Amino acid sequence: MKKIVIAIIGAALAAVLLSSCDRMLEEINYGNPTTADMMTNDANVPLLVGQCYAEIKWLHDHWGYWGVVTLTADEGLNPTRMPDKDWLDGGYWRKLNTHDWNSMGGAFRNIWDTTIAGAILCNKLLSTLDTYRSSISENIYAQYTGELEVMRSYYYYMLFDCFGRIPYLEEYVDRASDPLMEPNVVWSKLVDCLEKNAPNLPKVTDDASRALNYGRATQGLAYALLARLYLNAESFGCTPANISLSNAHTSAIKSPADFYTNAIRCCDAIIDAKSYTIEPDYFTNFKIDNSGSKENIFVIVENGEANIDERSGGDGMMLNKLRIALLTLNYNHQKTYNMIETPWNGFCARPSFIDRFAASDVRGPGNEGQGTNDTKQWGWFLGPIYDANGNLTKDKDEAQSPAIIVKDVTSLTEATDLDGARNIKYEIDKAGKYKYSENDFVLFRYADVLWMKEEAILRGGTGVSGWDSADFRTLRKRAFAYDSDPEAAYEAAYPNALSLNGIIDERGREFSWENMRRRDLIRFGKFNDDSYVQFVTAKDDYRKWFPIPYKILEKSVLDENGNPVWTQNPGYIN
Amino acid sequence: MKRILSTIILFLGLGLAAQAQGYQIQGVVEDALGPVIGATVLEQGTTNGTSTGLDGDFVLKVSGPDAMVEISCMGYASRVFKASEVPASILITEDSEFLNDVVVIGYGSQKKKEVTGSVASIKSEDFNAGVKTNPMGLLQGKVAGLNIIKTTSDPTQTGYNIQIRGFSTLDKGTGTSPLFIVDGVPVSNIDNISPDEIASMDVLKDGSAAAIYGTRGTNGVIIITTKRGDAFSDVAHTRVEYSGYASASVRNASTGMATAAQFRNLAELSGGLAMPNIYTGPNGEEYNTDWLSEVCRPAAIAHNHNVAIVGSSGKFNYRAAINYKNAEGIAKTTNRNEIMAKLAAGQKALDGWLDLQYDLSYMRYRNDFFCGDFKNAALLNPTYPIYDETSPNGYYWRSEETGFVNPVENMNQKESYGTGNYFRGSIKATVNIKPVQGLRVSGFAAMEEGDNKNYWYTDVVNTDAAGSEKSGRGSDLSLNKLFELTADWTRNFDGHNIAVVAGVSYQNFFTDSDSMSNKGYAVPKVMKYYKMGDGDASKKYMEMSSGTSQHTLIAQFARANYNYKEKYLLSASLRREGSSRFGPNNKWGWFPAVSAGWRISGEDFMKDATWVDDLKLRLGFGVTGNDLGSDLRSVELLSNGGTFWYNGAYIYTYTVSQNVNPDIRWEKKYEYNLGVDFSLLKDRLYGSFDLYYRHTTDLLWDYEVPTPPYQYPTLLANAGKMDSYGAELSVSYVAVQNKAFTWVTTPTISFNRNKITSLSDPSKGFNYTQTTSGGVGENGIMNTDTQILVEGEAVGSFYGYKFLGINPNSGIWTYLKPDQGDGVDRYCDESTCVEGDRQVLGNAQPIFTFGWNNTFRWGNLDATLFLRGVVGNKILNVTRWAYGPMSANSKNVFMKDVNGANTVLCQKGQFSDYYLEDGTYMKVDNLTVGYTFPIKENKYIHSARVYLTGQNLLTLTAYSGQDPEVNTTSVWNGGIDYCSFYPPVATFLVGVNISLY
Repeated sequence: MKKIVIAIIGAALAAVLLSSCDRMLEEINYGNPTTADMMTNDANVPLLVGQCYAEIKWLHDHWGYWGVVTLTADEGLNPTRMPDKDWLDGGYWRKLNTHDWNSMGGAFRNIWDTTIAGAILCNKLLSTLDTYRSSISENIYAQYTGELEVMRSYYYYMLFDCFGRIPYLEEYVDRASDPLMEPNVVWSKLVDCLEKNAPNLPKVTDDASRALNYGRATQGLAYALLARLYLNAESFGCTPANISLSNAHTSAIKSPADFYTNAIRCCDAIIDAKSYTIEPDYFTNFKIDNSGSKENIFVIVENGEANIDERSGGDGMMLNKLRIALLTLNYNHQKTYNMIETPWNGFCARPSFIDRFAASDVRGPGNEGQGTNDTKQWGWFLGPIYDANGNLTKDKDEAQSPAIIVKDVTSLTEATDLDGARNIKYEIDKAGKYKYSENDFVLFRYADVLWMKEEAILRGGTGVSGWDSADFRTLRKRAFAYDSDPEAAYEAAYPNALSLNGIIDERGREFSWENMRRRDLIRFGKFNDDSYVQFVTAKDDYRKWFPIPYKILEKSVLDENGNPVWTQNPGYIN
Repeated sequence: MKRILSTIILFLGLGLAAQAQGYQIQGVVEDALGPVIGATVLEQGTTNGTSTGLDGDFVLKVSGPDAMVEISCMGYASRVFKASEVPASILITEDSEFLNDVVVIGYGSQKKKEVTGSVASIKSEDFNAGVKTNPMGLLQGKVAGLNIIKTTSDPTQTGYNIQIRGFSTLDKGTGTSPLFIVDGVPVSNIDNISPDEIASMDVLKDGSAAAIYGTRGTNGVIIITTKRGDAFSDVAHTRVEYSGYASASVRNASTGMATAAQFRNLAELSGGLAMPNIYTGPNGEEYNTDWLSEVCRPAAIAHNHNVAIVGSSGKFNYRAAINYKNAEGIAKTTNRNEIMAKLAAGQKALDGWLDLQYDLSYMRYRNDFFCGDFKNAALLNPTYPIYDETSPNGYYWRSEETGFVNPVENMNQKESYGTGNYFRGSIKATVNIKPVQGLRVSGFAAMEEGDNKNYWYTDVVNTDAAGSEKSGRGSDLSLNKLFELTADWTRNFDGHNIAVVAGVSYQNFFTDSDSMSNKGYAVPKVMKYYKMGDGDASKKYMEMSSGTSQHTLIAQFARANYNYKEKYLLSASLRREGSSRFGPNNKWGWFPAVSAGWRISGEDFMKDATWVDDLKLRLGFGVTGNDLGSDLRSVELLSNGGTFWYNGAYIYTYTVSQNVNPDIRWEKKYEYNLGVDFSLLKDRLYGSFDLYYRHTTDLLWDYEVPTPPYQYPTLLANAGKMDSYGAELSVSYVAVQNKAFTWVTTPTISFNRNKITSLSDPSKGFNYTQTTSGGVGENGIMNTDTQILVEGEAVGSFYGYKFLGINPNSGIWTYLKPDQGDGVDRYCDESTCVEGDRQVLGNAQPIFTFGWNNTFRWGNLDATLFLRGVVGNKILNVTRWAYGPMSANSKNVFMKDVNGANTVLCQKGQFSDYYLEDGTYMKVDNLTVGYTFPIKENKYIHSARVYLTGQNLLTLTAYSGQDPEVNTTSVWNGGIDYCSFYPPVATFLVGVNISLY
């Protein structure tokens, strides 16, 4: 009997001791679907693919792509402001303004991380579409494959625009042991991919297709990006000899002029489609509700309400919200506009940039005497800030001087709270409704296409100028909309607009803070020129590419000799 | 397993020999003062026993006149008699030899003298007195190598930062806190244990001791044993114990910031270098505001009451206790209130076959949180007014600064409180397999449930329109279930002492949480968090979220302890454990340990060394693990990735939000321990000394990975190695011992050194050999990393420029470049320094940590003086760096660098060791004076004692910040004093302990 008791106990113990219970260790997932759960029908495809548009919001942050390309060009400045040394931040902003950056600059790494995350996301989604191709209809498969390849090109374009040498991949695979691709190779791959997909993308033809494709990749985006790549080919270091294109669409490139002819071809693809038109009012494109603009080709759709879709890590961190109004407006503007959050009084323009505006150009600072009492809208703000009751507000410095924003910036290290013109082309919410900007952020618009075409012709491309077209006339007229004879005013103000020297200035006025100015200045050889980019001190030619972030280099795979396969851009020490 | 079975069967026959019963013994157990109640009388080698009654008497039937009978009682030396020789009056004497104390070691206990691992055991009489937010406060400074830090006096923040033997992990995905076992249950929360109900706490420090809890043992194990009913006694009895205190706390440290008068005179005080931005009202009004005093109480009052009813009978014993505590914080509106109930019961059943043990405990608490902000209060310009006198409603004043917050407004216009319940219950059933002597099988089932609810409402706040008239509520629930089955067998024969335990364990943790907020109420002040659905009808402001998770641990374990004549000691254990959190191929890990001891004092050749009472050498080795702190890290799942504008409306997108690593597995720590336990000079000098070496491999960390191929820049993975070593000494010396006066002094000291030996694993593509940490972003300092984790250096290394001096003419700061090995000094300044000029500047970890306890006794009067501190660490004083004097100051100024013409204007652009300060300190942590009333024997009162305690009375330090006790247990930002400014307090307390029959 006792032996039986012992045996039973022993056997039971042995059984539980030696069992492995693996089934009990499977993780239970509460609420997070797998890809297989979702890729069962066409309706769920946009829930996955749409992520390639949600991720792009990181790039218009001042700690991301937009902040870096704006502050290194003449259109942007972020001085340290006394008395509290606001925006000192260890000299980070000053180094962008003077071009004296090094590979430690935090936003360089942010650009790398966010664009790579976007590009790899596209590759991953493309592979997902392949895997589940049988579960979805073929036209959905084809449509989203095209969109994803073009969006991947746009992510890579931004990375390429900054660093030149990048790890470009078209598949979701591990190729980390490959060296960084040289700019001419990246350029060729970007052009090939875009040319292949552009004709197959959705085309905006009417208001219905405009609404359906709003904020998404269309033929317009693909051709505008292609035109930009062709127009800038030489500034990216491409020559007819060092590029290698395999697509059937590109006309043979035998001389530099052929780059420009191809740029014109892509511009014409947009112009001839008659998808877009120049809005009679410049500010239609930047209104709080600018979704009706027929000029905007590709935008980031913003949701300005504070409580939705916000992801942030705190001070000095990125946010996937548009914060232009907060960045640029003065503290006192809160009293004018009943803003939810006190603005941060940071970003302004270099005085040299504001000097290029004619007095009555609506895109410029306008009648600075009236300040916030001016009922007309201008592109930039100068002048006194009145509170909601019409009283002139006071600065917070000890003297409590009147809050009047002035064009000049006395010093990058000891500016006052009132120095520098503020960009107000994006309509400010004056109803206290949105903490962040609700205005959709414009990435590509039709006016750029028209100007690119004219410039390509001036640079030797073959094409017919549109200078006298109705769209171009609207473009000129609206710049002087408050004048009695706008066209005459334009001609008087900018008589040489249609020339290379004129275009660089006109593009600055037209496209301020639209992610274009740095590349334009490089193309025109003005990026290191302090008559344009005032305050620049580091004028080395190699600075037209940013340094590969040192943390990225440190993570590089090692070659057989133990050296990192990813190396720094020429000129930079580490 | 087969061998164990055959051994069991072998001893079956021996068990049968001792069955015949029928010899009765009786007697009275007494000590020097009189009868001893509750002493255990046990027939050796059996479970047959009883305990003494009210008069110290007992009656017991034993198997025969030759049976050996042991009389034992906690705190007394045991005595053993042959049954036929038991005297009528048995005198037992108090046991000064601490080595006979019983130590709880997990799934069992051992006599201290038989322990071969590094285990510290603290009994309730040695706990720190005073107001404690949870049981860890009772141990602070008491155990060498156990680092306990409290950085706030806020009573709603109940936790302590706890670390055993420094860093053994990088704390990404895993924790650095030890595992807590409460009465056998691994728990996640120890707030619900009243200090008055704890019998002892045992700290398993080394790997050989902790490996029986292998998977979660890397950070050490703290076993809390609560008080139980009296020993079983044929004469039923009941006692009542009461203990209580009332206390008052006052602020006792300066922030180092300027007073209003100093701020106004800043220009003069700084030789004209730093100008204050003095606010003057529209009509020339001047204000002098002490913001900190505006948000603090003059004194915070706390009181605590604990009533326990304790009793036993022949088959049943119990202890039921209820505890009530209310503690105000020094911050106005801050309060913690808690009530706890606890029952511990034991039962004997089925004629000695079955022992049952029941434990139930429950707590309800309410926290009223402070909605102001001490940092803000300390740093705000003292010339600002509190109220706007020009406003018709006397509204709170606001400045134009970005982010300006009026702390008085926030304190008064916001409310936030939390309530919660904690329940823990367990049943243990032990079957004594009577036919096999010493064999028992136990089943143990426990559950722990905690739920917390929080509520908040913000009335109109002048500086926060969007946050005004907004409310929210949330809840979370955790449920922890444990089932264990163990078998243990003990046998003593011919000097061989064997104890074997084996078992299985299943533990499941479940959590569930939700939160919501809304605004736009018709009558916000009334509806607030009560009518959450009645907010704005468009539902635009409604936010909600919820989440559920669970994970499971399954283990099989065994341990064998063997000793020969308590002279040669051996212990070995093995645990195999699986965690649901690891990758499909790496769920299981093996955690072995072995340790040995040699009690040299038991050898014949030591007989002449009469000054040696006990001397034991210990050697241990053990492998422990570290569970992953988060779920679903090894599987690819989709989660909400933000919105996307799709055909005229927003839709949510779904994405994989992390790099997924299916290969993550256990961290492993290999630890070697060499220790000596000693008792010398007729037990007047006793203690322990330990040396250890720890080696961690497969460190879990968010490794920086190349992008591409990875989508995101970090991957949770195993790579890297870390070493640490250290020494610990704990000594007690009875300095004076005579009839009138006793003085026992107990210093403890511990040293720990740590080194990251590897961070990379090129075979897996992790080439990253360093990362910076210790980020500081504050008032013009842009997210500057001040520390580095790098191969070859210790965790907590400060990293920046080496300060050399300031050019008196230009005011430019000069730094010393790192030595390039040629002995030539090279310099750089704020404009010429490059990243490579940064260097390791010191470490946040102390060279050593110490505690020093002294107890005195004069007749009925007793006193305790406890000092503790750290030596040789660096603290980064962020306040000094970010709020030091500037040429213009609109915020308050830290005064350390304001020194006439020698004033140093702060340098925010670069981090240098100018802002590192020596963190050495010594605190007069506790001074208690008590009086025990001499009570003649009576029917009602057993004992009574009153005492006065002063806590945190004085801090001796050269550190210029508010409090040098900063958190040093964090891998990622230890030793950084981030301007938190919660005021430290000194507490004065009067308490009483009464025991009634």
